[in-house]
Amino acid sequence: MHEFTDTVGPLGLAAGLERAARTRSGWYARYLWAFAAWQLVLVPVAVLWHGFAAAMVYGPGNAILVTGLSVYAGRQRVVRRGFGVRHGVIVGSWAVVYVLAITLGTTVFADSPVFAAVAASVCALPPAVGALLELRRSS
Amino acid sequence: MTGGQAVGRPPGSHPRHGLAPLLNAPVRLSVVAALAPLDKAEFGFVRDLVEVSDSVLSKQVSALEEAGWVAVHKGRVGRRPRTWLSLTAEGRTVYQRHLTALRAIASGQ
Repeated sequence: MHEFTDTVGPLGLAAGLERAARTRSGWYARYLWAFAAWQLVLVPVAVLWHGFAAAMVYGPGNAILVTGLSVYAGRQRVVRRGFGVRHGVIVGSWAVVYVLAITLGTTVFADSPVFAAVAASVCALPPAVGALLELRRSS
Repeated sequence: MTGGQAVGRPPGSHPRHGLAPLLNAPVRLSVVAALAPLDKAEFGFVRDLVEVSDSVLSKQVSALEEAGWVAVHKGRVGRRPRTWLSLTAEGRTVYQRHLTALRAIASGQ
């Protein structure tokens, strides 16, 4: 088999391949952007809209998005190093903020559009920050 | 397995002693470099990235697996079989040492 005859060639090759592998593993940023965007719909619906119709939008809509994102993630051919911990931190942070937002939005700030807007933005923050960090890691 | 003298203390002070002979082959170095920033990658992803055939990649991965530097996991997504490749902790250490040795040689240390 062919072997390297200098040192610059293998160093350049290795750096190029590492960069290419990182770039092509950028699917997680797209996943997080979709998740963040969904918060802007999910949280106002949960806080402001009540009754059967709201449940019919909220429940299936959430199920479709979560299933879609899970299928999307499951079909990927590559997983970035440290993905499990990173995903756990992002989803954990989002869950804490989301539970707090829904609790306050259905008790203290019930039917407040201003609170719904702020809560939606705050809930979108963990996945949005995660997506930005992923983009930086991909470049 | 260690794939030569790469693991453990190099016998001399020249940076070439830090080189892993197994990684002197471009395809094997490419496979390890492609896996370095990843937790795992599908066989087809590495094949496309390194631009080799299935059989060539399979042969080189076997050599790296035998050295204990690459782990191979077989699974399924739906009905489709998938083969996942990942660097072991030892493989990662050897790769970093190999790159350090190459840089040292290139800079004339």
